[in-house]
Amino acid sequence: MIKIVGALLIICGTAAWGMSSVARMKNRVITLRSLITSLDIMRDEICVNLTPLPKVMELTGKAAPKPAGKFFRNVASKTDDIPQQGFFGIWMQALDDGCGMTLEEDERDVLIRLGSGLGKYDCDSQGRVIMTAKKSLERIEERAEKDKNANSKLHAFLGIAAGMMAVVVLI
Amino acid sequence: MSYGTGNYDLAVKLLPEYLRCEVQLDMRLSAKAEEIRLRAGRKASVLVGESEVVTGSRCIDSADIERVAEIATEASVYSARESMKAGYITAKGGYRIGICGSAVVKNGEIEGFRELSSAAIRIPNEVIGAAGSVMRELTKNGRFESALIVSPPGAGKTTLLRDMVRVLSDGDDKLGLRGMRVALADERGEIACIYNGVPQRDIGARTDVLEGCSKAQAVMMLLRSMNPQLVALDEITAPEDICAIKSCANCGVKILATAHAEDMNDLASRPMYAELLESGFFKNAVFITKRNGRRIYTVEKTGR
Repeated sequence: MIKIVGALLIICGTAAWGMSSVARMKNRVITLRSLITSLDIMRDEICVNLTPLPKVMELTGKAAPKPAGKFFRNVASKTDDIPQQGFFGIWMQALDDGCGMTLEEDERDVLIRLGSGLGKYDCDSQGRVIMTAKKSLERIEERAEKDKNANSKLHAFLGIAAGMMAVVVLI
Repeated sequence: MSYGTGNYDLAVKLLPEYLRCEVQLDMRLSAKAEEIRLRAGRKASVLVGESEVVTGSRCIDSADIERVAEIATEASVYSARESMKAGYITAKGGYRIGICGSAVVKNGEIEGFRELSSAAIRIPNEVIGAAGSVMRELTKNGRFESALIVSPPGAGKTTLLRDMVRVLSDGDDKLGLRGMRVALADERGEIACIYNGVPQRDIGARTDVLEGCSKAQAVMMLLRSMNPQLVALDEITAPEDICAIKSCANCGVKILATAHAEDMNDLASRPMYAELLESGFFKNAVFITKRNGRRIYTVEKTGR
């Protein structure tokens, strides 16, 4: 009986690992899509309405889908700290907070570059900074989507299979 | 630590936190402070009356001044690009920050600045009642005649203009003055200091403000749209401003404006202002002089 329970626990554990890997791939795509939508909202506010950044963050936070919306709301909530940390400082802090976003190194780098360019220069340059970030995120999203379609079933299978293999070896 | 009170406190908040200790002043001096000066390679200083008091302990660098611009624009330099081309930023609360640096020129026009080298944070003063004695002299039988406020820079033209706008807008029973519809062309946003659409200074109940665009454009728009009885504008500096004033006069609208000059002779010696005096649009000129730190207002007839 104990062996059966142990075997089930091992299989469940490795299956959960596989499923979390699949969930991570799905969440990454959702995060990337929400960020891409956010950048469109942001660009309109900055380039068309010349809205100051704290307000841009607030409006983007309200209008953008999850989880990017939460990230922008987090940035907006920290804008009182601009005199202490500067905008880039609070942007980085919000990025470190995560805000429910699933980010890999590539998209994190894109967001860091975006944060370092926001608020500076004129509207045209702001538009270019945002568009460059958007294109980079779109490329990453395309790759992430392919990756998800190609590997999600494999990861789920591998999770269960690894558990069964471990059970066979141990028994 | 003490920065004094009121406007000086708020001006200090435009500095990054680590720089605030560089402009420490005692309460007595901070109440009289007119400008905070930052120059790359030099220690911070504060203009108090006629003298500049060095308050800093370390040299300021260009990055410090860029941080000031970042704070003043709420990290949105792009939204202040037009005024930055003209060499200043207007921060929340009506604080005007003059900036210098290496100009970026494109097709013969200044696009902006890089490597900022200086910043001068002007501390606005709101003195309710400053216009009292002047208004008595400018009002005859309950009627106000157009007036030009004249002084060298930093003598208090804007402060007097703001208070006169308040009195003219609200009216004054003692003077027999009924409140007028005042249209204020506030190009740099330092008279009304509008924030979220609400003036942060008392400019009277019947005042409509158009800020952020050139005075000449603003005056024409206000004339067309707001049916004013009086138009107020700060610092006549360009021929277009004179054209706008002529339009006001032709519409029978009273004018209250300011100009840079020492005295009547100095004013008359400048071709642009001489034309204004000749035209008789302004019946009176109010000269501001500073003596022993006090402002003295002298009203003179302009001659016609």
